[in-house]
Amino acid sequence: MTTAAITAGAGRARRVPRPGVWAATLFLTLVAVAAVAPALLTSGSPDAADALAALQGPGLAHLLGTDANGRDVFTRIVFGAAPSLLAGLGATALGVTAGTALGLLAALGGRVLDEVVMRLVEVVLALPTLLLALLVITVTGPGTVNVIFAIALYTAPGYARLIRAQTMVIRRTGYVEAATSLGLTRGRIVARHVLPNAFAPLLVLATIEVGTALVAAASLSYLGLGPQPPAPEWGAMLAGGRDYFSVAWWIAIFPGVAITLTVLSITVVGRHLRRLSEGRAS
Amino acid sequence: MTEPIVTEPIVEVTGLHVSFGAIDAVRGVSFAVHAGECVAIVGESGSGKSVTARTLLGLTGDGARVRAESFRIEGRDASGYRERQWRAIRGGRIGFVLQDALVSLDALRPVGKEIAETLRLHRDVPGAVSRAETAGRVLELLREVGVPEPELRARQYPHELSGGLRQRALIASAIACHPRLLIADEPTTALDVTVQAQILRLLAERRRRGSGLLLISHDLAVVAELADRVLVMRDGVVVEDGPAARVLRSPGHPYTRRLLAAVPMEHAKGTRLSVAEGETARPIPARPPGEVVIEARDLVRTFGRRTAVDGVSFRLRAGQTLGIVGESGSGKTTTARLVLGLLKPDAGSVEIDGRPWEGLTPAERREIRRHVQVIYQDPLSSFDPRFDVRRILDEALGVGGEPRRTRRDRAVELLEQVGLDASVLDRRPSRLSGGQRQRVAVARALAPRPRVIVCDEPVSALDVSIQAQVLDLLAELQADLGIAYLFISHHLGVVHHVSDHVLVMKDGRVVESGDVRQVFTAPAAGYTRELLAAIPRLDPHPDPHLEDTRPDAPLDVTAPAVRKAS
Repeated sequence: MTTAAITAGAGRARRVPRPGVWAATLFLTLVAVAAVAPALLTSGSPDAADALAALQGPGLAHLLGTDANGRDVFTRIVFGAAPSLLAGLGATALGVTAGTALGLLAALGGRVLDEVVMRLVEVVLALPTLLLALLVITVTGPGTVNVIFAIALYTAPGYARLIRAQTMVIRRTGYVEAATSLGLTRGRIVARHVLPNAFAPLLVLATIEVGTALVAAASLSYLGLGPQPPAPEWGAMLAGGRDYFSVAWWIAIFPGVAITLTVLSITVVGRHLRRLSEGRAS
Repeated sequence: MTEPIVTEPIVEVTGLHVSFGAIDAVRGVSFAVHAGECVAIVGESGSGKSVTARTLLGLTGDGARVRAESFRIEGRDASGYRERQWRAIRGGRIGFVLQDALVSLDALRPVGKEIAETLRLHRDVPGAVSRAETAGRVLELLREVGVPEPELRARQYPHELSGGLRQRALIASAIACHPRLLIADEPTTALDVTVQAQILRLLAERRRRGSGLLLISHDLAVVAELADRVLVMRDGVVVEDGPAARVLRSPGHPYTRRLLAAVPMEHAKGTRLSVAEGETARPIPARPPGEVVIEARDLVRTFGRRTAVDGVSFRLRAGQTLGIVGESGSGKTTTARLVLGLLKPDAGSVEIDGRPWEGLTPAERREIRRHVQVIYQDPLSSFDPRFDVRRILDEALGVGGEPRRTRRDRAVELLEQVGLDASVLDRRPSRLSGGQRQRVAVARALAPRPRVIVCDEPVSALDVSIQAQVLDLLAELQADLGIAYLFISHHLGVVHHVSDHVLVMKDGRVVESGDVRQVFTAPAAGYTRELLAAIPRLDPHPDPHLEDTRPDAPLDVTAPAVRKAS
């Protein structure tokens, strides 16, 4: 009784987030609001061009300045949150789903299927990631959906490997054996015991990987393969500011800061979640 | 050789207190160990026995506060010793042997080097050897602790040695510098019974040669074999202290009596092992044998080139317990997995209620699985870590066909049956004590109303008194419900207590089988006699039945020896 109380207390103490975690959570909340309801954060329109106000520096009229067409950079960053986040989240979700399916298939589908799936996974992992994405988009054409698909294609193998390894371990655990002895069907054991336990560590990893996927999506947009102009997207805005960097640094810098802060915040929150899940496991 | 008259104890502590923050681990313990004497500290986990032992080596750690009225090692006041002084004591003056040699020995170093290091660190003690003599002394030490082929063994790594050899190597390193006192903390707990007997003989030999011995153990029988004095500890306090013969034969404290009543080897089936203070134990009624629930015929199972199970046959009837006893690697667990239908035999068959596992559709197999349930040594690993007790029981009840709306009531009923109340429903097993976890495991096993429960070392990880409670619980359930148990253990005492019939296994084969009384009092096979002779007993005078003077009967290895199968 005493020991249980003490461990529970220690667990709670560890669960109090640090200030950095609070700041990151706050920032991510703002980004999420921007993505869902951009009108709450800015009154302007992302496409409202004003030739007279072109290339103005940050100031009271335009918080983060204006671009070559006189569009407000802050407004465009706010409206750019949705496609940027969508690409990061979508690619990760698709990658995790496909990876989990492949991993389970390899671990539980018998030796032949395991060989086929894992060799395929190795081939994909052997290719340079960005090159693979470029190749896919060359075939499918630019756009957010295709960017998501391209990124998912090269992240899925990593998740598949992880799920396969986890599943291999879990299917030999005492609780799977106990469930088998109870007479549960194979499908039920996989759905109820194997998948949830294999998936738990992946979920935390995936949170952190959303940041990586977001950077990848922004990179593809920067190369002009994402949403097409004039749609606001952080990576595309970064590319648009490239030519004006010496005269109007704010056009490229602020979208870049948005990307960096978002990824940083995701990592901080993801790490915190991981600490929590490890604390629970021990 | 006459022993010199010893006036001064090697170590002497009075009023020892050790606390970790707000927790008082040891409260007012006093004892002394003289040369040629074995003092044993007996207690369950959390009693403070290991902390007491570590204090004598200055190993309590940074967070601990140690106080004592007096604390003397070889006549000198040790209460103010600093790390540097402790280092001279450890290994040099006092040797330390721990339970698990695999953890205590450096995995990346040959054992010879490990022993040589102790010699190297203590060149200033009397009898120390020079650099040049070290290698020879290492071999001498290994020979002294009975390690065969010391030249070969000295070059091997800990993982290449068997458990017994590792423990010997650890003892060799502990005695390398002729320490006057040897502290052994559960030195035989992880070992098979015959290896345990060898290690105990080795320790007795050290004592005979004049070394002091402080033995820490939960096992009263091990203590009875060696100790001159016994201290019984509970919650950091010594509840009883005296000559071993007196404490173990006519204990004064109720806690000592309870510990003695809990020793399974000393009590036949039907005797209650856990007795509350002031209560007289009602015996647990025996069930008459019912119909055959498991029939195993000539089971064979190989893994690669190794034959794990070779021609095992037995029959188990409702309401009865069949014990399978054997040392590690004897094939007990493989036999259990074959019975559970988790492994397919290479030859032979297992029938549950007259239906063989083989040739069934998956649905039919699942239906049979309900009738054969299992509990493991480590219940925690047999529960999904995400599940609380409610979900664990709910799942098991669902499989048993219990309708959803009555499952909660049935779960509470099951918990009551195993001596737990409904408050544990919302807790995860990781938040329960070892005994509670095993009770939850039993409740889950009972949920689908099985005919047989396979018990694979179900009490090996539990404290003596918790072990007694779980064994009593299993016996009561058998009396009430007529469940049959296939009870697997390396612990002969436990098997002796629970079983009606016994199979003795060695190297995958049944070397002897029959009625439990017959096998334990008049063993036919030489191997069984060897095992029985190795069991440490509370009363160290050997059982007259074991002093069998007949020539060794040949090991029955050709045929499965189902002499009496009902």
